[in-house]
Amino acid sequence: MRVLASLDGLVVATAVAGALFYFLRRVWRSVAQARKQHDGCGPNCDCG
Amino acid sequence: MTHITRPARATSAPRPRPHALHVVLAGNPNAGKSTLFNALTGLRQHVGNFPGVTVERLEGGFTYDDVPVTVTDLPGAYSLSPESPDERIAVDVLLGRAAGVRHADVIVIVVDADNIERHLYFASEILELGRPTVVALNRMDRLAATGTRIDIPELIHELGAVVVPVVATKGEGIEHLRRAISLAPTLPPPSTLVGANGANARYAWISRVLDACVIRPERGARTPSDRVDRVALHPVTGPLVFVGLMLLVFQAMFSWSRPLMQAIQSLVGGAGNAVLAGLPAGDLRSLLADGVVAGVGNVLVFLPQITILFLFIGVLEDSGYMARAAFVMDRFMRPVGLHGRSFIPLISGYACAVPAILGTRTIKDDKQRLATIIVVPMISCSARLPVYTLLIGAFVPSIAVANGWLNLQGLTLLLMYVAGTVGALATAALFRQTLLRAPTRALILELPPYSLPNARVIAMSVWQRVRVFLKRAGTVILAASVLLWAASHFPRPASADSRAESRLSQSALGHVGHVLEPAVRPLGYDWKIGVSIVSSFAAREVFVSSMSTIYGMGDGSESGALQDRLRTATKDDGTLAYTPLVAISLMAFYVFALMCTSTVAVTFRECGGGAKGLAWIVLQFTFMLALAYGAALAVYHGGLAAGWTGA
Repeated sequence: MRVLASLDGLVVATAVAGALFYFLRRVWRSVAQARKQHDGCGPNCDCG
Repeated sequence: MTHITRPARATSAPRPRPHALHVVLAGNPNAGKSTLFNALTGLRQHVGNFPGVTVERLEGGFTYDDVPVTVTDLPGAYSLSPESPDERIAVDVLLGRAAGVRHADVIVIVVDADNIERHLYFASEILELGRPTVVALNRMDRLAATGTRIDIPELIHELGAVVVPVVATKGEGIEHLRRAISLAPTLPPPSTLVGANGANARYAWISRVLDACVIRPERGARTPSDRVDRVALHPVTGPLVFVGLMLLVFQAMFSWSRPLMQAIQSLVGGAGNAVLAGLPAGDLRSLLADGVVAGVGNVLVFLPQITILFLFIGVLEDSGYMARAAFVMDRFMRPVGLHGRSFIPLISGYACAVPAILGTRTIKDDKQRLATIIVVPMISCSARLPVYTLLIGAFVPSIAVANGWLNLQGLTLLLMYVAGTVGALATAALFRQTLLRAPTRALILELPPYSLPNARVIAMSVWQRVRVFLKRAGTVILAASVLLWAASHFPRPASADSRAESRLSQSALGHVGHVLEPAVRPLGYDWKIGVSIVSSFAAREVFVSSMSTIYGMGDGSESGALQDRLRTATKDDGTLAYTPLVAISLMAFYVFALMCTSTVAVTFRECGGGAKGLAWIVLQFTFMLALAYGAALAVYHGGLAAGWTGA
């Protein structure tokens, strides 16, 4: 943990960039999914 | 139970076995296809006891004698003349004209032995397609319980196809069915059965087959199901039973879950303290403690309540009561122009609007279907539960009412669900009287006999929802918590004022909040609530994460659960940010607001996509936002006018 703390800024920046990337990818996939006609929410959906 | 004999009609020479098989499961709704699919393939999907659960095409597989077998579970249908979108999908696959679906090598017709008369209609049509076919005669255990027997060899003779008796819920007969499937392509296909066109000729043929194959006991007194239904379906006692069961569910959600919630709360608190103790002060420590642990942990606290909700829904479905609830509720849905079949998507909406909207494909009438799609998101889904529970737990006292029978917190939660349901019905009435005006079709529904719920089926159903919740906590909620933390910490304040409150106010989140504040101030909210509402458009639970992140600021100097922090939080002017009145106004907002990107996306698609889909989602979103804002405004100002300062 202390090693991580020494890389404070880098770890935080990576985490924030990762979260941002996740949301952008999610939006991209939602748009792509909305354009498909037959795919839907199967047993593994995470629509919650 | 092995009846894989060569059918009597078989005359042509056997054909060679293929190297791989594609099998489709077809049959009437509620024949048990989904359960059989699970039993055959080992894959799991939600299994209900009422018609219409299977809407999406699902695939799984198994290997038999080194031959890989792919199984596709088709939506239920009543005949080869489809009326609803999901029936059309099933028929297109059976006739080999569905785009992107491989032609089936074997058709497995799932027939409910307990309803063989009705199910043989579709089965006979499929058999006449002349394709390699196996008939899976499901629910043989229920048949045995009624004293009825089916002469299987005679049925094989009549149908000219292999018949395998199975009990899908217990896995009985599944190996025989797998073997029958693997052999089916080598057997000659069934030939014409009825020999004449028209429903009457087909029913006459079914009647003759049943006379030859089915041995029924003397019709005695009412069955136990009949006796229960005298109360459960009665015009007066039926709705009372339904309301009583709902009351029980919501009371249990609060009272049963409390110890587990407290345990998770302690774990979250312990994790937060461990981070604070193990890391030096800095951004990383703050991100982990105030962003990740507080944001995700405070959502995970609601896991026990979600588990209890789906446990009850599973029991009601698997016992056969849910179909009765649809019947009982049809009386209340017809006047607002909704079909009895709309009840099933509406009930699914208590879990999630996305599968519920997909479930509307079982509704034959386009206008009734659209009306259902528009109102489903008003039903309080499980993502709203953390928001309700957080606010109720913080601001509604846990006191007994109705002579100790009820608890005010459970009652308030029930009130939120009722408000959403009533709002949905009223909106349906409005749309059916204006944009979607058309006559309402009558409801025809199969009522399966009551049965003891299967623990395995319920456990799988609950686990699926729990898994979805945990997955969301580890993905959407985690990512949102990280971003919210970053937005609440950057940019750094220019001034030397290092107080948490000042830093938050000067952050990106603070700037957005201040822009939003004029819009939410009439509702009694400050900018922090405004920004939490907007961020929850990613997922409603993010509201809780936002609160945790915003009120977790202070590098761990503040202590206590989130609910305690909300109770003492103040606005910029020093007055209490949250009062019971503000909390109820907020809940009223969340009852009606369409704060869900997934729902918007699926509505767009199910309303036809393109300009039409866009028009419907704009209408739906604007309407629900206006309704939410109006409801929150009415609650807040109504409360103030009544002299309830709420402090």
